[in-house]
Amino acid sequence: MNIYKFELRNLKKSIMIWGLAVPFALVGYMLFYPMMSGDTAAFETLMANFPEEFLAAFGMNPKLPIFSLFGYFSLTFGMIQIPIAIQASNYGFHILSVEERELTADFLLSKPISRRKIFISKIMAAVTSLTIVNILVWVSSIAVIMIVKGEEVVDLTNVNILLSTTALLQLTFFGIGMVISVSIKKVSSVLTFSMALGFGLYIVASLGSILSSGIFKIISPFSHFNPGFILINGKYEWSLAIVSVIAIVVTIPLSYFLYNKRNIASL
Amino acid sequence: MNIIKRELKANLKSLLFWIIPLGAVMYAASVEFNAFAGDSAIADAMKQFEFMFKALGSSVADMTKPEGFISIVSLYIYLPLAIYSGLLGSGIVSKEEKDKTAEYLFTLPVKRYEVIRAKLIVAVVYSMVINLAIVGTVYLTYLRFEVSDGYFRFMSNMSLGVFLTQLIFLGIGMLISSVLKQYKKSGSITIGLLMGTFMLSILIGMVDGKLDFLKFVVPFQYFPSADMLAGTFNFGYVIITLVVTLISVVGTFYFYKNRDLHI
Repeated sequence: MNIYKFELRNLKKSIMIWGLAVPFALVGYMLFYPMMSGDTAAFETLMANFPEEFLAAFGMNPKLPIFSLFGYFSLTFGMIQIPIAIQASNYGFHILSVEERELTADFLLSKPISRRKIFISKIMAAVTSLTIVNILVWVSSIAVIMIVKGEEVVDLTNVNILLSTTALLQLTFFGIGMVISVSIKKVSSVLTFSMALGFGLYIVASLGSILSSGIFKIISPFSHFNPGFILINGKYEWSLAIVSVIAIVVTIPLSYFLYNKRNIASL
Repeated sequence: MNIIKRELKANLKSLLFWIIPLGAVMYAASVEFNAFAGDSAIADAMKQFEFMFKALGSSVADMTKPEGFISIVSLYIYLPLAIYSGLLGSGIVSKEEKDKTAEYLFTLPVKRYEVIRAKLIVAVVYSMVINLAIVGTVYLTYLRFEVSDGYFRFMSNMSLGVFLTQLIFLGIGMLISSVLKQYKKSGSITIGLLMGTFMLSILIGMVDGKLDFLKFVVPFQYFPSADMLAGTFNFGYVIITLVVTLISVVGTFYFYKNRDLHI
C-alpha cells in the first residue's frame, strides 16, 4: 500500500498535466465543429461519386461525412488517441525502470517486500492514473458533444462504445512499454521510447488506412480501435481488436515474469 | 574535437534506432503502394473531380503517381524527423546533468561554449544524416515506379523543407534545456510543443481556410509538400525559420554559459 501511495504521489503532477491537456485538446477541437458545417453540397457529390476505398485514403467515409457531428468527432478522437497512447506508454516505460535510472533500486529492493508486491503496487498505481485520465476524457467528450450539437438529436450509444475502447488502448501501450522496459538493459530516456512507440505506431496506422493494408492495420493498436468503424457499426472491430487484447494478456504477465528475474543494476 | 567524437558515438545508437524502423516502414509503404500505382481508374476519377478537391482545399496530388503519393504521406516524414531533432536537441544538452557526468565534463579544461558548440555541431550533423537517410530511402524505393522528370527536384526540395523544420525544433529543444532550471522537464516541454503544433496543424487542415492565420505558429505548415512539389518555398516562412533557429542557438550559448548546473 505504501508503494502504491508513493507512486501515485509521484505521478500526481503528470496526471494533472495529462488530465488537463488531453481533455483541453479534445474540447478545443470539437469547438471548431460549428465552423465545419459549411460546404456540404460539394461534399455530398464527392461522396456519391467515389469508391469507398478511395475516400478511406483521405480519411473520409460516406456513412460518416466529416461535416456531420459524429464524423468530426471520429477525426477528433482519432487525434486524441495519440496523446492517450503516449501517456500510457510513458507510464509503461517509466514505472518499472525508474529505480534503476534514479539509482534508488538498492533502497527499494532491500525493503522486506517481495518483487511481486512491488510489481503489483506499481501497476495498480499506473492503472489508477490512466483510469483518472480516461474518465476525464470520457466526461469531457460527452460534455462537448452536448455543447456543440445544437439542435441535433444525437444517440450517444456508439459514442460510449467508442469511449470504452480507451481503457484497452491504454493497457495495450502500457503493457508493450513495460515489456520493452524490462527486456532491455537500460531505459535511458523514457520520452524517446514512448514518443517512438506512440507516434511510430500512429504512422503505421495512418499508412495502413491510406493504403487499406492488412499488415499495417494488424501491427498498430490505433487501427484496432478505429473511431470511424465503431461510430458507424456500434461495435468493436473484433478481428483487429483481438490483437490488442492478446497483447495485453501476454505483455502484463510477461513483464511480471521478466521483472521477477531481472538483474537490477545497483550502485 | 574529442567532445565531437564522443558525442557522435554516444548518439549513434539512437540515430540507428530511428533510421532503421522508419526506413523499413517507408519501404513497406512503397510495397503496398505497388497495388494501385498507375491505376488509371483512380487517376481518371481524381482528374474529373479535381475542381472539387481544390474547392475543398484538399491535396490535389495524384496518388497513383509516386510524387503524389509521397506528398500525401509526407507528414509522416516531417513529423518523426522533427521529433528526432527536438529530442536530440534537448537531450544532448541536458544529458550531462541527467547522467551525472556534468561534474566530470566541466572540470576538463574546456570552456562551456566549446562544449555547446561541439554538441550543436553533432546535433546538426545527425539531423542531416537522418534526413538524408530517410528521404534517400524514400527516393530510392520509389524509383522502381514510373517517376516523372521532376521527381529528383521534388525530393531534394522536400529534404530541404524537412531539414528546415528539423532545425526549428532542434534549436528550441536546445534552448529549453539550457534555460530551464530543472533538466528533467526539458524533454517533456519540447514534446508538448511538438504535439501541440502537430495537432494544431491537423486542425488547420481540417477546417480548411478558416484558421490560416495560425499557420505561422505551426512549423509543420511552413513547407507543405504541395509547395515542395511546385518547387516554391514561402520566403516569409524561410525567414521565420532562420530567425527562430538563430535566436535559439544564440540563446542556448548565452543561457548555458550562466547555467547553474545540477550536480
